Amino acid sequence: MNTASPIPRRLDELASSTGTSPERAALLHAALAAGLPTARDENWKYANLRALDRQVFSPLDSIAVGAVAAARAALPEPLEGFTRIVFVDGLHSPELSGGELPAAATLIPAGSLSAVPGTHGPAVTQPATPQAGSGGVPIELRLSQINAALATQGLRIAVPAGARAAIEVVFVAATDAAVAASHPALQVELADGATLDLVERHLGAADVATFTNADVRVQAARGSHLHHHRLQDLGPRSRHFETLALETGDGAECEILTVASGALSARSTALLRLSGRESSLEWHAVSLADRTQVNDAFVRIEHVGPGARNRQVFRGIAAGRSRVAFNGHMVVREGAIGASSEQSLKALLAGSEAEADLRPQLEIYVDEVRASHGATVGKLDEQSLFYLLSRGIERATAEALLKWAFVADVGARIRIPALRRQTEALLAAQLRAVIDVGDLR
Amino acid sequence: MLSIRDLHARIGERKILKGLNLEVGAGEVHAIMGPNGSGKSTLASVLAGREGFEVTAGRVEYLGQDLLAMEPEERARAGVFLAFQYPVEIPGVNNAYLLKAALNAVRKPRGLPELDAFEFLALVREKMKLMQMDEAFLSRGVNEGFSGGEKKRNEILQMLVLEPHLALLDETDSGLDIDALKVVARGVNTLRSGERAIVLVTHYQRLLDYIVPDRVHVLARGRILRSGDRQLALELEKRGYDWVTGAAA
Repeated sequence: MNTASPIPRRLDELASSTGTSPERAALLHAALAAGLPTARDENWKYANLRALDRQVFSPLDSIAVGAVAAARAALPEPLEGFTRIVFVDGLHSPELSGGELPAAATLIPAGSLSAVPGTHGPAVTQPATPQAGSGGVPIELRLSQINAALATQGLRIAVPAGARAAIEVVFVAATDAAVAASHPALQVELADGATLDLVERHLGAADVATFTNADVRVQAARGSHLHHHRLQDLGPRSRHFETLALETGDGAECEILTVASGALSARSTALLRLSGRESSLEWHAVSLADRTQVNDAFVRIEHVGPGARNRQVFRGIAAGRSRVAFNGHMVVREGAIGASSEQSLKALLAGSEAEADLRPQLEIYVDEVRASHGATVGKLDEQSLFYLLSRGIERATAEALLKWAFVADVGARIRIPALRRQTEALLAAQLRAVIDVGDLR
Repeated sequence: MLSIRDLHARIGERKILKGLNLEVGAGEVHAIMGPNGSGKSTLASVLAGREGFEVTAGRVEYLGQDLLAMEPEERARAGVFLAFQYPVEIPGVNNAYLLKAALNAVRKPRGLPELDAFEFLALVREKMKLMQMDEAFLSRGVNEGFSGGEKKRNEILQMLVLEPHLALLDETDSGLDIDALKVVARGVNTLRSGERAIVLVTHYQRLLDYIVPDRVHVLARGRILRSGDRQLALELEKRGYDWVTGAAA
């Protein structure tokens, strides 16, 4: 296969290119007119946005030669009971996917992403906060808008009422950022009472400096159950942006578990709306950064429907000269009576030049609310370290054990045994731990 | 085995140990007693290598080695064990992992092979029985949610598993009820042997009813003010520390 889009293009070039469809060009023009996020924008100040306007945004029309082999090498062991669907540089690879698409999954052709009804949801049409730029789309969704304009292919997972599905979607970035960008697009719809175990991975081919701009939208209807695992382990030279927009129906229960440890710089935006009555959201996230990595996340959870519950747990470790940032914005709208919201943010500084920024924000417009939050940034506990050393344990091992202990709670929530083993091994490797994590459980 | 000469130590600007001398031979059990703030815990911490304590003068020789020049983990591997006054909780790292890692760390320099999972479990089970501890403790986080007494038992369990040459017990009796005290004392007594030395740091005489020391020292104002045998502890119980500290003033 040949690469059908050989000319690398920036956003402005794409918008004015004759090869771009009028709908896509209009979306891009709108996004450009409103402006890309900058460090001056509230909620973006810790992200690495350097030279975003000069970045190549053009996607590939077909998978590049050699990319399948490179992507195959990056794939982890399959998960028992899960159907695997693999995308390479934003394009579906039947070769790497486990046979036919499952009944719940369909591919969305280029240009149709924004046209799929209902998938943007109120998070887009009714901006969560009055920060919408002149483009009408809030700044948090601008990259999502660009994804909708540029994604070559998307995946739609629709689980019918009362049905169950277990799907693993792997997005592998395999092409150099100087050649093309990858725009993974995933739209998930859970009908009433549906259950979905979803594993979403972002991986990179070895040693390629890639650029990804992923977009995930989830609609969880009445009484549905979503267990969503999000794992970002891109290569050490890659740059990654992702946007997740989720909305719940009455009594929907969502659990989202995020482990982000890869990429040179990563920014994760999540806009989560608890619209239904008594819906619930558990959000558990681990971010690890080392060397000069930047790992930034912004999560806004909005209580709209009455009686909704959410718990947000974040654990981050910044080593070397890296930066880990987490901005957890909790909004309780009028009418969200009886909302219950718990937030626990903790970061560990494991390098003398490392940086950790935690920002808990609470915005409450209703009286009857239970809300608690806490945020702490600290170093490895000296007492605990001495305790381990005094038992003869090497300093490097003792430090790794304490870092492990710091994030272990989130890892322990993974109920899929193979995924848990893979994730724990990933965490241990990232912590450069000489510890046998299999024994730690 | 342990020879401390003219030891001076401070925390920040505060001088705590001011010329402490102590000789502990193999096979001996020594009790260090003294009023609050006399420097007992500082002594234990300095010997184990805790950060934040600065040794400004003096020497500590342990089995012919310069103990103060060794890192805390090297001391442990050379057979020094400190039972903490306040054992820390480390959720996420289970007791079994810590015990096994610690045991293999001290076995290596002794030229012993690593224990496999079965040998390890058999050994630990036997010691846990002695300490009247439930096996469920093994799979829990280190000291996580343990009561004060359970933490102290866990310290002694670790000591029994690691079989140190020199055991330092820092106020192991504090916070124990009489039954727990007996269990802890029995654990310590099983370790008494000709090639092992035990130093008990304690505020009260009570522990010494169950672990009978060979020597008793009174530490106050940063020095050993008086040494004697078991009788000294009984005398202290009757007459209070003022009797020694006042007389030496």
